[in-house]
Amino acid sequence: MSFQFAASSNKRSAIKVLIVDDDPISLALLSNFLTELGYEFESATNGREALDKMRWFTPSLVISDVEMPEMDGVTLCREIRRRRSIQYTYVILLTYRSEHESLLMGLNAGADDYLSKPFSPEELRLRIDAGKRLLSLEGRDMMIFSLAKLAESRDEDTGEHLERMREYSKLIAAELMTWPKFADVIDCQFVELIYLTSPLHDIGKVGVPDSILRKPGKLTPEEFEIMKQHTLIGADTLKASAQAYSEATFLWMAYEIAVNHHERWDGTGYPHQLSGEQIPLSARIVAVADVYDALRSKRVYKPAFSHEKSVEIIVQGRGTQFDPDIVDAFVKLESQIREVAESYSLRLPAPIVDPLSLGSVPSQPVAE
Amino acid sequence: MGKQELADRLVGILVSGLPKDSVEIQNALETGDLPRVAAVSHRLKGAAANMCAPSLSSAAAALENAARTSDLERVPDSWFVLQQQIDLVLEELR
Repeated sequence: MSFQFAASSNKRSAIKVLIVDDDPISLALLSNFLTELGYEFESATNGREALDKMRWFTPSLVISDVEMPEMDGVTLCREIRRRRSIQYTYVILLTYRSEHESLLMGLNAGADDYLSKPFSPEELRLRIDAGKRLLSLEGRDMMIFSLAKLAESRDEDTGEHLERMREYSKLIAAELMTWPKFADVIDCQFVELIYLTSPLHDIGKVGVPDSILRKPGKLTPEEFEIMKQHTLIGADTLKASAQAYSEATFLWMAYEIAVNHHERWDGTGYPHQLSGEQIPLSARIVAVADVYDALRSKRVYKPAFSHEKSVEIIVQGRGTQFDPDIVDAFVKLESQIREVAESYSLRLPAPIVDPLSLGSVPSQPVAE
Repeated sequence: MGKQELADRLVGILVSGLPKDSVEIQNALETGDLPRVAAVSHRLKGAAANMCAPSLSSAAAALENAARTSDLERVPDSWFVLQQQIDLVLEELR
């Protein structure tokens, strides 16, 4: 069943398109192109009609003329942006070269792209592809981050841990990219991917019971064994997804990180006691980022350490817990890392003192 | 749909639409509804450009422009030129 769908989806694209134009010739041309490209679409002859159709036909792409009776393309665009829909609607405006001003208004109203009339089928195809890329990226990023947030929500005190550690990971990866030793291993895509997927490192915690995950005291050895399972639970989930969706290559990096981010350079980590370069680079980077953030954060078993103290502890782990190169990169980036840490803690809501109700100042979470 | 089939269909739409557009512009001119004149000639301009009829397209553009700027001297002249172009195209395509 699912194979059937995959096979047919090559021909018939999943996204739905709404075309809006008061010129029947333009509509006929667009219909013809879209049919050839295999898109499911509907058409409308003005903005008002388009909005009516959008009540039952939910397009992810709207291709609209600008000047139309009843409701023009700029107003249509503004209306689409004003309405909160579950998914993003990508809007392409069709304009004439002479309509420069209305084009600017359209982009201002939230249009994503434009196409000058008359256009070739090839041009239309390229613009639609650009839109599809954005739509799929949005879907991907949103999915990754919401998964990660879901896992995090069960953990106490993590706050903006994911946001910070993905920043640290990205900084370190970008630094290493400039080192001759890593030039062949790290490219821009690696840097992007580690930023995207590092928040999934603890996704396996969804499989750890609350009694252990949220235990206020020290874990017993048995409990710690269960806690360690989060690396394998996360890995299994991500591996299964990566195998099911072979196009989603980013899931492989997410998998690597989830399973290996508690491995240690000296081979005494878990779950597989890998050592040195047996541990994937992505996981070695995330290990440093994750530990630094944990050190800076207040936990039930420890206070929040200062930046200096945290750096000192990371440096102590150079060559034992951590890859020496990554610690060196980390030390080199130290001031930038600190900036990220502090910019996020500054962004935590400051206590709001409402002059009208001074008696009930809500207690604010302490920057962790 | 084959290319020829598409072209035939588009020509069909144009040929059946032109007389209606012509009447609509005439009516709008009689009631002094310049925004309507501009809107219809705008649509015509686009259709003609898509159909690779540049003379028809620029005649429509001239009327659109005149109507939009309420240039009362140029409106009748542009309308005259546009009518000629419409007739020419219709003669050719019918």
